Amino acid sequence: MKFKRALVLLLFIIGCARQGAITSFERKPLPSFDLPTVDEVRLDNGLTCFLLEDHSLPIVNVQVITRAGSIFEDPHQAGLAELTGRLMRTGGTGSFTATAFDQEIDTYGFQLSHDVGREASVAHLKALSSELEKALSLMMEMLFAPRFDVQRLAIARDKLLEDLRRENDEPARVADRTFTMLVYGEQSPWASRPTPQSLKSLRAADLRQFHSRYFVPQNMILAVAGDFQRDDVQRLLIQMLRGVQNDPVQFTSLAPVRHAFAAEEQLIRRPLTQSYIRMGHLGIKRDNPDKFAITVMNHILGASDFKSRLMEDIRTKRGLAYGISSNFSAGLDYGLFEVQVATKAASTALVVKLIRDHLEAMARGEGVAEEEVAFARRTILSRQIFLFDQPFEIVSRRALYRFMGYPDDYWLISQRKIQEVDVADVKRVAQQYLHPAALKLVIVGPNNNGNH
Amino acid sequence: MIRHFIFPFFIIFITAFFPPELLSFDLKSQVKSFALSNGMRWLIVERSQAPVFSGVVMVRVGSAEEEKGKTGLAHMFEHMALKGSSHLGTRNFKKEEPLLHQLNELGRELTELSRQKADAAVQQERQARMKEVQKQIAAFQVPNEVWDVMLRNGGDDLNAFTSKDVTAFHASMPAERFELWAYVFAELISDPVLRDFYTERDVVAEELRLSVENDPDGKLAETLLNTAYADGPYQWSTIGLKEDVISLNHADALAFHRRHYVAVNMVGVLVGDVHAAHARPILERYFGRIPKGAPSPDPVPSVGRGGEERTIALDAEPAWVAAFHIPTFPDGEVYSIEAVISLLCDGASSRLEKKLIVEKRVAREVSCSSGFPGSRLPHLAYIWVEPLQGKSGTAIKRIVLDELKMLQRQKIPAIELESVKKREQAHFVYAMEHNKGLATTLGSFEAIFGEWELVADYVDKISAVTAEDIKRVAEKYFVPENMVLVERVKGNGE
Repeated sequence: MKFKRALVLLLFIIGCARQGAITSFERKPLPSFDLPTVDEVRLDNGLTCFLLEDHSLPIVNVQVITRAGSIFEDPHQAGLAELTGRLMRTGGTGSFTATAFDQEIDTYGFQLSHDVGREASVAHLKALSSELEKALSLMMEMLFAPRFDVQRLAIARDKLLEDLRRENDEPARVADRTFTMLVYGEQSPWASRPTPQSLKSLRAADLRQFHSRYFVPQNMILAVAGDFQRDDVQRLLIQMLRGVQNDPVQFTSLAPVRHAFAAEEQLIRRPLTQSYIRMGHLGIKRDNPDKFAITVMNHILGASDFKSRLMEDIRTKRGLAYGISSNFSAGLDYGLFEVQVATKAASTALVVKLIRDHLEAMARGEGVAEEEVAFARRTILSRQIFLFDQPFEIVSRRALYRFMGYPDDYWLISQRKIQEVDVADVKRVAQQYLHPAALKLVIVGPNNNGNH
Repeated sequence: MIRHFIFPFFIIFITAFFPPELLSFDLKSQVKSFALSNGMRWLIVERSQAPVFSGVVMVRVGSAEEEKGKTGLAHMFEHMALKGSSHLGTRNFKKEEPLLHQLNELGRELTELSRQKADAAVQQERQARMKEVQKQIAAFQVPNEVWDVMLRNGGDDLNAFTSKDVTAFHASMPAERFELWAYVFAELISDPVLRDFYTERDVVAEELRLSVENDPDGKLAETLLNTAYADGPYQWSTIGLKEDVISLNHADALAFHRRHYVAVNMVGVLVGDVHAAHARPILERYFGRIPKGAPSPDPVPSVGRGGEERTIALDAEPAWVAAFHIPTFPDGEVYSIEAVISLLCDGASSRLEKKLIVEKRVAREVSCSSGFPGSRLPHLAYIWVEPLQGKSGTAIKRIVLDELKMLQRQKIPAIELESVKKREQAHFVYAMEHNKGLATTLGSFEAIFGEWELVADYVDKISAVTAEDIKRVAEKYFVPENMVLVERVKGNGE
């Protein structure tokens, strides 16, 4: 008896020693971090600027967000925003032919890109600080004085057509776009996709019109971080933007997304050895106060690397996938809730069933307990520092908050809100916002066995 | 476009060409290097702009160390390393271990039976017994505890990768959690316990499907390797052949670890808010116990095949790739070769982008890289072209060869050479921005070539390249006799 007790005690101590090692490393709480102060300046022309000096490396990063994207297109001109955005970058400017512009960029090793999304276009510049003035002038030319060279338009159009064609070679992308269209409806501005017809109908005049309508300083937010002097950059911007056209923007009104949920399937047959599966429905709007609880709920369900329910079951326990994740987005209009996975063809039906089971269980609040919720909160919050580990991330996040209409200290607010999410909240939002009986299901794969 | 194949070559260098006030970014002086008592090397770059650091551990072993019939083992092992140790991932290793042994032996038997296409009933019996043991063992395991511990302490980008040359493990963490990072990573590297081996093998099979079987570019890359090499360590892709991967067993993985995961084969790099004086004793405490071992010798490189052409047909849009056999460090030619690649592909005004996309309008995209599939051994530099619809591989080949001939016949103008150098200098500075990127690059050069200083010297070296050098390497390497060409056309069949 005594011996056994001693043994139990010994084992307990050995067990504890292991835990003890880790616990001792965790004893010091992670400190809260203070962000450096970001300067905000609003130029007379309405351009909002966020500036953060950091002289540790001789680099400057500049980003400009414009409220201009594909949701503002006329449906028969699908691709107009994308093509305009691309040609601003490749079609030359007031001062430079397209070829000369390319040469300037390459000679100095600048990185200048322009990406167009649904709601916004984002221009990004990276340059050595010794060449800041030249780099900035090229960026401003791109934004405000694009040439829309006709030959480069033809090249850009051909490229975009080829991009669309090649998207079909990537089953994951086929699955993504099919899912988006299934949830929103093909006509929705949130699901529209250029077609060869819509692209071929676009002329340089259309691009010019789109550009002059949306790409004006008062419709933009600029963020700059790195090795510069605040006064210099301000002076340069004022100088470079002198005389730039700046009419207030008339935004297209958007067809609202119909808030409806109904089960539907689309199966696309491809001769692959895996099925690419997407399951889900509409998400929420950006201004929904439940979004913090939903973030925690979704983290538990499918967003935590390796520790989410979906990942632990479908990858770790059963070896059925290389990756599985869920995403619950909050948009300008309703976002998307989407589970994504690829699995060998023979496991398709099983994986679809398992996902359904997990969604049903989560919607019922099954197994949602303090440990799981606390782990999710802790993970989300303890890695927040990485959203701000570079000066450029700090300043571009400020710009993003402003673009979305959030307060400047949104990150602090969201920290607090996440910390407040409890088991009851997670159960409530799971029950209210998950619709396991009304899932849209897309499978791109070799056979039609799916969801039975 | 320059496509970076795991380890970008031409980044990171500095000094002479920067104005004086920037000489404080002399990378050499920023790197603190030392070895532990067991020979494991460490590099530390202290920078405390944010209270975080990136920690990378690189082992000088990769897919090149594999043997035919067991390809994909290095990558398989990398997957296993994150399953924990005898301390992490278990509630009671004493109870778990015998069950794990049982489970793994059953898995090995089942693998063998499956390979021999044994009777279904026999296989099912093994599967049933495995399920039984899995049920028992679950009581003693903490699945993904490594993730648990790292994630709840702010771990970001916890990941690992395998290449032909190295296996790397990484995580970024808040500065306060440095000791935790050291503890966890030392556990994974020194004492991996192969939990869920046979389940994880299924995961790797899914990854293989994702990245090769159902990815036309993955297939093209694999074909390129098979064509460029008749044999030898660079012939197969890192992920391995499917028939090999699904036959790997846990004993293979254990033997692999024992042979290669020794201190002299390892390099650790820390970049960020860490201090060498504070870190060193901690590193010694956790990593110092790894056995010293003997360095793994390099496999014998095969003679590459030149003048080879091949076509594959897939149900996908066409692609075209031309690859050239090139030497590697410490051969001084590498810098001139990098300059040629930059001239050909780096930027919209580069020779090939300009010709193929703007002037002749035959391509959607052009990308080039060296370091394919690895850089430890003589390897390949490739030019990868995606044709526009209706444009033939023949036309592309003619244009590319013409451009190469131009480089061989005419020295490039000084202004173009200057442009290459300026660009490379800029790229170097950009590469210093992110802790993880800098750590990975320093680690790669030290692990692969034993000389992280190559990174710091790169700018000087590339700045010394002359127009004559470029002409010379163009004549020597970028010629049809040294070229392997693979075209992917649209059609049926594998």
